[in-house]
Amino acid sequence: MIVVQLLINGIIAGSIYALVAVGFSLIYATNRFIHFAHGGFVTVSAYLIYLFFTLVGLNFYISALLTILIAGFLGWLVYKLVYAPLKKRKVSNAVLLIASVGLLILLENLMLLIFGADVKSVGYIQIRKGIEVFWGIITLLQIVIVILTVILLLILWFFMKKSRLGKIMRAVADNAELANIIGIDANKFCYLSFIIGTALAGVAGILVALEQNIEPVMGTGLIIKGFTGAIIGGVVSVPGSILGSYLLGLVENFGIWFLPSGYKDAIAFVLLFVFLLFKPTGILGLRGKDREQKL
Amino acid sequence: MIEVYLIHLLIIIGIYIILATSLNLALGYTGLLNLGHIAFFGIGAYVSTLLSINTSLPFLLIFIMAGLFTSIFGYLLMVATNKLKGDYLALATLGFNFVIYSLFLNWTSLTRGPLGIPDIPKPSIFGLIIQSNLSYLIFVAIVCCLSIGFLYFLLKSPYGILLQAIRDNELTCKVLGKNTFKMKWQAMATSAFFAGIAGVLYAHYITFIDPSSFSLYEIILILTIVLVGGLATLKGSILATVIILIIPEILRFFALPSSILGPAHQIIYALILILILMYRPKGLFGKVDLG
Amino acid sequence: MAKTKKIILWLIVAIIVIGGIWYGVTKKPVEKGAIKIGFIGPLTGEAAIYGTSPKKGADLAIEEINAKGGINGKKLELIVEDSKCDPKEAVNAINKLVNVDKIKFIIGGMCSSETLAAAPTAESSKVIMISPVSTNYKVSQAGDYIFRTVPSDALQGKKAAELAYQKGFRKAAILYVSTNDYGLGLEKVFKEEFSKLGGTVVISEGYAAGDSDFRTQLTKIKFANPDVLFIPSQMPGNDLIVKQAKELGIGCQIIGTETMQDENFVKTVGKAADGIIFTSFAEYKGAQADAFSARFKAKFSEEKTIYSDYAYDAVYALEKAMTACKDVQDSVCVKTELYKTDFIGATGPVGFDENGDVKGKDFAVFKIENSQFVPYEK
Repeated sequence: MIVVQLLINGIIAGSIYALVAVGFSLIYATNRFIHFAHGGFVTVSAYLIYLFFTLVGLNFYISALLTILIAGFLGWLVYKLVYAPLKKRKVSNAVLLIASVGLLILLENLMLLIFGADVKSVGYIQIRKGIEVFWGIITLLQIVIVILTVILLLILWFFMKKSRLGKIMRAVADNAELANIIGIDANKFCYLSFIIGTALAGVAGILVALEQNIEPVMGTGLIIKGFTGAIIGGVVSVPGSILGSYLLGLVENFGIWFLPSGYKDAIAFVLLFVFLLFKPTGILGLRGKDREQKL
Repeated sequence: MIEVYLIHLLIIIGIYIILATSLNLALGYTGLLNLGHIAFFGIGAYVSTLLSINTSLPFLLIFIMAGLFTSIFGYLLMVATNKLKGDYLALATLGFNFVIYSLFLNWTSLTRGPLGIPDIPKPSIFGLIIQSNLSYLIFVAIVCCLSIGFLYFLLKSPYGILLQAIRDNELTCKVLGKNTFKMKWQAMATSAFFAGIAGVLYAHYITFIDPSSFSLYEIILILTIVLVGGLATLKGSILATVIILIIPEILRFFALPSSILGPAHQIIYALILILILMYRPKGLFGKVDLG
Repeated sequence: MAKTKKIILWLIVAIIVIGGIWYGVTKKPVEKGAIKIGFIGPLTGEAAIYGTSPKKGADLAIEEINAKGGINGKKLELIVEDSKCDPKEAVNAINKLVNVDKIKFIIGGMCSSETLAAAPTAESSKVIMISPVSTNYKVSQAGDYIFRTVPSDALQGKKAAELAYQKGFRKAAILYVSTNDYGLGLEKVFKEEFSKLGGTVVISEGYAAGDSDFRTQLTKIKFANPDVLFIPSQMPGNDLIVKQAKELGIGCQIIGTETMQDENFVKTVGKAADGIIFTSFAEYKGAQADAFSARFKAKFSEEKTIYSDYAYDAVYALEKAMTACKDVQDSVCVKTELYKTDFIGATGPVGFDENGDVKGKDFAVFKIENSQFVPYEK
């Protein structure tokens, strides 16, 4: 039945968006600003796995590990070099947002400069027909992506809601000064969120590179979709952003069953705009109290 | 020969000055975080193009109509986003830009989508067709001066002072009995009007438009210009436009291979944007910080 | 302190402005009396290969012509503009070439959208454009001054449709790039021709250039049960379409177009590309082709790249027409002479019909076997 395949397609698309959304949302949940450049780090990670595995020839799992570690390091670096100084000057979140867009463009053009514009492929997985599941087809890699995302969903839900570390990070997000008074080093947790969040971008970069090949501008499209998913689900809630991404993936794929296929992006944009206007906290987001204090 | 090239550059600079100063009106003077300004640019361009090609209305009428139509969108955007603050407002306006871009791209029966609309006629004013680039420059210069003049007097007037007061402390203005919402949408509509006008000038100069001229990169460019020049300063925007648009020309001087030139461009803009935000957020002549 | 800052700022501004003007004034002076030929094509961006590659052929031709003394004693110079496969950039490029460089002859555009966008300006300025790459059928009607040395997609779409029909397929599916003239044109022609022959296009799905997820379109296609899938698309896109089609278990024959004759495509897709048949330019196997290949290899140290021979022939067609005119810059005369073109170039016999389309060229069919392109025998 075609519906089953469309469902599977939607879940696959949703998982890819979720992979991008999860790191982004973790960073947002702790820092309370929009870090668009996250998409750029996904792109950089994709090129890193290409560099280590395809160009240099290291073992795939070692390349993946290296990529994730470097991604985490880059997250730390970008916070140290750009965001921490800006935050120290107590700039508004709008400034941080604009700075992050600048970073996104910077990263993508660096990749363009270094690697060139043509499509690169990692070449780790052979292309072959997928596995038949019920009335649909899905490949092994896609199954891995979906399962990984679901696992991440569960881990992060548990982490943010129940664990001590997660509670501290949320406290820091709510009120950094108060947290400092209690003796929590807010800054350290901001760094931590960037390291983990960007490492997650590393994971996303690797999987997307395997599934969709690599080109310099891939990050922009991905972060827009990931961000939309996060907004729909509730950007403050990390598990929410994953769920929102699935919703987006499903709406897109079922949507273009009826509409001409060129409208796929338009669906995402309209959803984004509508949610921003009427329910910016998203479906799972907390009501009102998590919104910006800074204007 | 060099004068011909300079003329082309000046026309582009003139158009972007109008874009930058109108954005500054909304962003710098009234404090409206509008990241979707380029959508207005596009609406003005498309409206004027479609009217010029499909109707035989006189150009000046089309010119004004395009501006007014765009200002309606400015009003609508303000209505839609009035309750939003801070980065949510910024995001919603960005989302607005994407939605309009999608419209340009997908409403193919109207806009021919990604194929764009070629063969846009040159303007004809009172029977005089503005054919050569020099005459177009004169036309753009006139419109530019009129626009800057209008904005200058508007912003110097008590109305303008009030706009800045709204930016700095909207609550107080409300308490004092001012209808801040009305003034905000008026500011947004005016900003949109001039952006639309700039779009008309652009479309009839390049004689070809497609949705790709109104996307994220243009937003970054115009934001960089306004931030470098500084918020709440007209002369800052004018100067910054000249500086930022001359950079690619200087890059050409270094005779880099074109595969390096393209990304090098973008990297420089991005770096300027980030560095300005980090080290000189007021820009060249800005009076206030962003947000 | 603030005052010094202001002075410094104005100094920076002054330096930039003066630098800009100085650059313009000291731009490399054109050799006195050299004949300038424009070049419009993508040198950067995803489609860069469609510009950098033909440029090599053009460069080679110009070098040879200059070595023999140029045209009527004057050397040729190529003025290059990067149009990024973007119609808007192509319009900017032609405006600059025509207004600033006062050019009358252009090798370009490359992407069909470029040529179609720049054509009106060329026509109104009486500037000749010869494209070695633009295959879209609309270029035939683009204007009196617009020529091309590559055959039209009206022929390619027809060939693909005939191929499908001859192989016994009656139910075709199409997945095409719907955001540019290339995909739109081929889809239209294929649909018309296939229906004329008696087949049915059971489903036709479009996608936007830049998309990377074609699963839903492919799902719809799969469930429509076609016996052949025609894919007029480009890189990037081609690679993921084939990959996702295979993964979804679409087993019917895939027919592609000349954009699949691309090393990067085959490298990226690997074994999954084997078995694909595609239409592309028929190869000419004459002495001139061999001579061109040899000289190309000597200059660039590689085998001749895609479209380079068509650009080479475009320049020579121009040269012959210009030589026949008293005033080489008289584009009206050159245009008339171009319609009389008749010589054998690197791509075979070169002549133009009343639309400016190259005469006598056709498309051939190739197959991908073990990641190589081989001519397809039925």
